[in-house]
Amino acid sequence: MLEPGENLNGRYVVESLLGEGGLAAVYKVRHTQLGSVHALKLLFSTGSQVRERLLLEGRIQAQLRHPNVVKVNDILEVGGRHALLMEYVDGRSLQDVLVERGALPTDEALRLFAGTLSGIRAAHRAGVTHRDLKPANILLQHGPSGVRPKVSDFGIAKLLDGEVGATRTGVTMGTPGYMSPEQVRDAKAIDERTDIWALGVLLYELLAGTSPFPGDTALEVLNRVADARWRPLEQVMAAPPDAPAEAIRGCLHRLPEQRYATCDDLAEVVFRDQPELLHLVIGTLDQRPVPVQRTPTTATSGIVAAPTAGLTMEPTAGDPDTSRGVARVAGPVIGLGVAALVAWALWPSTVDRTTVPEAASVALVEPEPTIAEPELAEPDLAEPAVAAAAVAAPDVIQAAPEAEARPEPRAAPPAVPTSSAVPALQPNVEAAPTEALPDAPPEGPPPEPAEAPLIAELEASPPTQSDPPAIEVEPEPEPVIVPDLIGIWRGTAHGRRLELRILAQDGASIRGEVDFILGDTRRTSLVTGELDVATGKLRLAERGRDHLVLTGWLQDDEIRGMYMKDGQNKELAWSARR
Amino acid sequence: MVGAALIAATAAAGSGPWVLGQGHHNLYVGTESQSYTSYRVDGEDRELGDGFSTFGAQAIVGFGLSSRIEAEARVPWYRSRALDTSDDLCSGTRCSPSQGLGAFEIGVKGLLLDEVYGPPVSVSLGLELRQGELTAPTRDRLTNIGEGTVDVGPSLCVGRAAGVGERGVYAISGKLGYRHRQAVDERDGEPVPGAEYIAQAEGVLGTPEFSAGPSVLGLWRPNGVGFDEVDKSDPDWLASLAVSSVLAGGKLLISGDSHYVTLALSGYRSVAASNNPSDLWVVGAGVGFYDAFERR
Repeated sequence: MLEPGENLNGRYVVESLLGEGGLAAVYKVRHTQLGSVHALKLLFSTGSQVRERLLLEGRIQAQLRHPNVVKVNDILEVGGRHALLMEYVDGRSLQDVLVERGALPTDEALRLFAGTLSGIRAAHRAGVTHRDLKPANILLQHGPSGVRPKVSDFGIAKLLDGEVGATRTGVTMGTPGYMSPEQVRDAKAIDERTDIWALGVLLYELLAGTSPFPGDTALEVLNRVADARWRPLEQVMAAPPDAPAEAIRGCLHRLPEQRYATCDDLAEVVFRDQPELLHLVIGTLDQRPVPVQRTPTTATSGIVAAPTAGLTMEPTAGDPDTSRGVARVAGPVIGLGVAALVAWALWPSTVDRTTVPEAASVALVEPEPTIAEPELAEPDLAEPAVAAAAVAAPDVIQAAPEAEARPEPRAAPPAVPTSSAVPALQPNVEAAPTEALPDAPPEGPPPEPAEAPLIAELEASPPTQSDPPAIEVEPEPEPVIVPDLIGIWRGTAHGRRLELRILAQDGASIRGEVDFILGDTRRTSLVTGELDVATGKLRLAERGRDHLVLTGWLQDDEIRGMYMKDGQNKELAWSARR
Repeated sequence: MVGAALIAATAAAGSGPWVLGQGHHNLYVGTESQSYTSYRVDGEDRELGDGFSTFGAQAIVGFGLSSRIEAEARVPWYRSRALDTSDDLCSGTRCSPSQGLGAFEIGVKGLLLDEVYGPPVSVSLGLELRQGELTAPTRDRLTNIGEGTVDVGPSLCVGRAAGVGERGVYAISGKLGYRHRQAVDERDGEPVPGAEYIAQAEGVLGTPEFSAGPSVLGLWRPNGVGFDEVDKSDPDWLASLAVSSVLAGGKLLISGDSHYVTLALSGYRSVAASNNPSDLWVVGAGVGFYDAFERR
């Protein structure tokens, strides 16, 4: 733990602790000579694996010279531990804002989203997938004309073409509510469309103020994510805007190939009614801050809700004696009535019988499913959301030419207006009550350096496709994804109708009932058992007596196997589908 | 005169050799209506004016004692009356309306062969007890709701249920039973009433949600006297008759998607009779609830 006033290598002085995570602490430090303020992310661990991941994060963020990406300026060694010297962002995280305010006004949400999308787009064009995009990793930098979102924490990012990602097959990495379905299954088998998914989740939360994947537990959330069972925006928002709603749908497809392929595709849909935002994202170097309405009293804390109309939250969310014929039918008719009454009184609750409990359909054997490697018990290397003045003038930073951030230049973007030719934004910028910011940087901030500071370690091992950084991956247990079996499975057993109701599942342990339906009779056996997650084999036995023993293998959404009566050798076939 | 029709009632509930699972139950509640206008005596139909009408309601509860043994109890209620009391048979109170609880029945059946585990058919052996003493006060009426006796006897049931193609199902079953009836009197050295034999066969074909098929019920009481020979002043004169009856019809089963609730509709008509109604119609409707009192 560093103490305020502590000198680091004679170059920086610690001013304060900004926050701590499971793996690192983030300090506010000041350069002793220049007076510039930075954020220092210092690892707790000296382990090689964590260090390599930190270095990877540094390399990636150092490459991304973009105003919507938190910059990494240097790598230091402090007391034998490595640290990233980063741009110091004056503001809270988007997570904090969402927690405090809930849904944001559509215009404000879209502007914040535009900045974030722009940053991720730059990462993608640099060949990097973020893989852990979430509101907590988006810092909101205060400026005289508004707030600029900055994407941070590329700690588990992956170089798209370089196979440098610090993950391996079978390992789950990310944060449940923002992980893509393919990420839940295998963290390595992902590409930039995983970020497209997360962008969809982010846009949803900005507009609705709540997650599209509600759940009380991480397992429950993962279950919903794995099946892409998200709550329609219309259920949590009175009148969702058309284009963003369409964009969210386009992002949250379970299969990556059905999502938008690129950030540009996404931007063109979500901002089709706001060409100025579209231009900001895909068309120009200009990255003006997002103007946000504020009141003087909240100026120091970023975009805290102001009591203005513009910040009003969206709605979150026959007589038988005379007629023999009548007599013959009156009984049944009355009987049916009686039966109907009885039926009404006794009709079992369908919900009670058939509703699949809200337990996860994907359960991780690992106690903490968010992180891959056991030693990385905390979510990531994320720095806590920090606030203070940026080291460089934050609000007038002109983005470095995109070509600079692209290792493989692509086709030139379409000609678009430059910053001065984006009239739609200018009035908003001017309207922002920047005067109300007591901590706003002085006018005329210094220009953004043309090039990022060189990092010795990066120069020594540039992250090229042909020469990927060597990452020492220590042996680690494979978190196994256990498919959710809860529900009603119907099929046949030795030609007879069978119904398997799995009522509860705790990891691999299962409890349920097996019905053989014979004529109008139903025979039920209570069964317990478990799923062998290594082989996919399911074994269920009648509780207490083991009269009935079923084994089966889950394939897709069908279980096939054999069953027998305990003590007999004859095995019979059964199969069922949910 | 509900003796034969009682069989029809049970046919509407859970039938076949199959048993419920241990600790599980099924509740059937239903009604039925019977009517007839003629009576077959020595091969001749005797017209009874507008005839007789009976309305009944019943509840049948089955409970799985073990994975192979099921117990069942049945409680009926009947109201029977003559639609025309001018016939000679209706002298005295013989055609006065009767109503009340019918004969209680309890039974148990055990699965001897279980097709679920390989055999081609299921076979069960049952033992049934019918307690009809509550019906004794009106047992001499043509509108009786029971003959006031206590009966007990075994039954053997064979059945097979399986799938047909992708979605179809079928179930067929047959049952033979014997009822020893506690004697209340003696005629020519023979106990009265005499023992009864019952037979039942049915089949349904359809889908899991909708199936229908034919059903046949038979009752035979060989020992007894003829209709014209019996002393009709004897309160047990009806129980003294030698009777037989065959009803033919069918039933329709409709299950909800959850398959926990089943609507059963049935209809039968007498196709053969001796000392029994010859144009008897029995129609019934009821709903079966599986595990009605259990919330999962």
